[in-house]
Amino acid sequence: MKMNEEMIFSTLDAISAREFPQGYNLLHQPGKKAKSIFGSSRRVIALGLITLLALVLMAFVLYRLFSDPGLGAAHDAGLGSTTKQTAQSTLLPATATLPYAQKSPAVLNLAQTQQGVTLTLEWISLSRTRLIAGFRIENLPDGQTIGMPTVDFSDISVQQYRGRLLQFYDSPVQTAEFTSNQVIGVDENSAPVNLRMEVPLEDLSGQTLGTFAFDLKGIPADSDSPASGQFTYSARVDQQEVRLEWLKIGLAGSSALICYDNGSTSPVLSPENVLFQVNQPEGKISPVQTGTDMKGVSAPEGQSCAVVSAPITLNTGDLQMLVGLNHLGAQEGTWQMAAQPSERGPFSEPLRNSPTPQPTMSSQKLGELTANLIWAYADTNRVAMEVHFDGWNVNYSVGEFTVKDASGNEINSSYGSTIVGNDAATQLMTIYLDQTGQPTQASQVDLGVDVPVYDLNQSEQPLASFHFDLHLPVYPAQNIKADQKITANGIEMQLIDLSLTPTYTQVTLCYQKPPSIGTNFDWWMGQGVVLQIGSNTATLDGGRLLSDSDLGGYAGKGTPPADLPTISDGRCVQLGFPIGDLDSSEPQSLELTIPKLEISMPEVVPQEEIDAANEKLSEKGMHVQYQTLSASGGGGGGFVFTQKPVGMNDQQAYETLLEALGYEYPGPWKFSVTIPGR
Amino acid sequence: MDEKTAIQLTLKGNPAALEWLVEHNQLKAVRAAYLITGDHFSAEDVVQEAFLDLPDLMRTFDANRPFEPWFLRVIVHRALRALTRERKWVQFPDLSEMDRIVSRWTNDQFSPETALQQRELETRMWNEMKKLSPEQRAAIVMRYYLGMSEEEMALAASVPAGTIKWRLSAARRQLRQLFQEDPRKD
Repeated sequence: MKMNEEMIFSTLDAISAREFPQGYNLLHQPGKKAKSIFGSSRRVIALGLITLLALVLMAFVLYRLFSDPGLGAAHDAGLGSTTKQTAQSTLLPATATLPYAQKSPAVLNLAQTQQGVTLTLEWISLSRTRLIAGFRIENLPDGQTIGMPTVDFSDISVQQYRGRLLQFYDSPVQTAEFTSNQVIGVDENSAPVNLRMEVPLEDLSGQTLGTFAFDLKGIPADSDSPASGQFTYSARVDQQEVRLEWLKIGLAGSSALICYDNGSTSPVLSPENVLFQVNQPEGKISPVQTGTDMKGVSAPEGQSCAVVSAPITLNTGDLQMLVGLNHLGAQEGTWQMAAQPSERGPFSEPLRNSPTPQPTMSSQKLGELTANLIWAYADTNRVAMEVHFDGWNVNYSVGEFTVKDASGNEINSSYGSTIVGNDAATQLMTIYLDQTGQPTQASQVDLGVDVPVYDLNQSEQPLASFHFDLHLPVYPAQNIKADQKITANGIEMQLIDLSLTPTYTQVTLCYQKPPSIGTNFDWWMGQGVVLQIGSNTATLDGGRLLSDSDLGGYAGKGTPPADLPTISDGRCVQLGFPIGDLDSSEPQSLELTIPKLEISMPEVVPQEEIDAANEKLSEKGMHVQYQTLSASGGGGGGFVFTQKPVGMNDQQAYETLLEALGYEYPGPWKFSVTIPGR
Repeated sequence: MDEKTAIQLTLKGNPAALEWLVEHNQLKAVRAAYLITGDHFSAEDVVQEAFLDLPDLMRTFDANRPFEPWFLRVIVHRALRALTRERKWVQFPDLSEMDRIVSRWTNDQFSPETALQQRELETRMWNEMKKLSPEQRAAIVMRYYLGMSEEEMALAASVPAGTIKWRLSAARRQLRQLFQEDPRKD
């Protein structure tokens, strides 16, 4: 058979799938920075990626909205309403069929006694990829221990065995949690599973004294609670694979079953080359503990296996245990594996004699989450609400609002929310009532706002929703005719009018367009546009095209404003800035500065334009090439600088290029207006 | 939720929407990153950081186009950048060495009939991949794993299209030698 492209794909897919199998989830892995036994630091996992995503989004929203100085200034100036309205959460029912709804373990409480030792299998959680079980151990004498359990799935197929972990927890009643990683041939719609679990009772030399055997019938294979930990099953260096078959973390020491391919007839692993280390909170890491004891165990042909022990354990708060090798016989390497226990199961309070499973909803304490509306504001363009949540959790997030009018009809609005200050429990929520930008003419708005709250660990549906009824006076806009004309670099620009609310300013500008480049006539504001009112400044928040001579005139919705001039070879635009007049009764100065106009980059820059630009750039020691693409998945192009002066960064080079291409047209145009007091 | 909705909501700052994008795009991304970096944790880093930067990155994303091809180009670019930073496997390709190894893949007579043979094939191919420069490895991944056109590959790797053609050709020849086939069949 010929090696064809499909085969290359499937082989590459198989190679990468060994590292990242189907079902791998970056979001649901435990994640801290794990520090290497071997000195370097690396990020082992991505725990908290959901939280990180939330923080990133908060920052993103912050950038978009609470760089909105207008609302902040309005709040500080005492505008708006201090409502003191409080809403109790409306708990939404958990929907068990959704993939992200946590499904609790099966509670078993099966007790057996061997040699006077009682082992109770309290609960078991089974999914396609992991089995987690919780034990209670009573009357265990010194000199005896619980060995590594084994699981036999009698009537279903098992694949990809990926290691086992057993950790003991100290308490008046000793408990242990066991995780077995494998893929079983079921899905969430399959029938419950039968399995047999055997747990050896051992002496300290590993000799089996007895076996607890649990034949379990009808275990659902769809449980995903508690959250599973992490287990690195194997590491490969220079084709030498080392496998961590299991790790047992005791109260005073730990032991690991390590297997490796071995062409030799005698084992080549030495206990001093096995390194144990603990990742602790706040980025700390324990000293390296080498193996102190090793016992060979039987292994398949061509392999060697040994149980290596060391006096090291995980204490409360520790993150994970690292197990590594730095030598295997004569071969040096950095084989490194990590094991992190699952979250504690439903009986993490070991003193409880008659444990009761914790329902998911009540454990999230959403019933204690209260939203307090502490400030609200409305003008002709938008409504803002400041809400403080009591009982807020770092994993919570506000979702998309639903806004209804006084008749209960949903309003097509857009929204945003951002945290206020550093307190994630206090959020500023902004609602733009009309996405076309048309201001409301009403003197009061009456709205019903439903604010959903999501738990990022279970984010397919909101966990609670809060309802607020808003009855707010609307701050009117102040409209000012300007009719100022400024000419710069041969281009005339006209400030037609301004519309100011206490928190936002819109200006209408008309201008001649610089010479088009080819068929490109889309001249727009360049970077650096600034509006200053009194001592407050803001950059451009957004804008829309009102008319363009190349587009046949008026391009807005409805009928054109009566005072909108007709500009031959020009256009009119409306620009928005997130500062306003703060409802001031005093006159204020306003300055609008537009440093340059720019034209949008075409999808494909003609080669003759690039050649012409390169002629200009060569005088500055620069040369550029342009890449283009057109494909089903996307298209576009980009410049690559093949030559530029030492010390010139990419942004500087790009600005220089735009000038050389003629895509920027410098001004500046500066307008000054005095705003009368209200 | 569909992709378009997820993109729109992500741009509005909705974490559930961003999580949806992660859930639906992470596996191919992390696999592609692994094939380029050759390191499990570097691959996770690349993809994780790309997702974390997504709100910023999406300012340049045309929401009318499919998300996955654009995002995978970002991943390839960042995986290459990560390797340049880490300099793990980076080695300038020795042309004589490449000529010796070149041209083994696509015309090979090889039929992995057992799982063991398939595993052997994977091991050999992976070892050959490791001998390639990161850029050549990226070219193979983009062309054969992600199914990109040469123009898309050029944009992803931030190099002119001609350069990508050279890299792909060199990498393809090198990989073909894995099966010691006639290198003239290109």
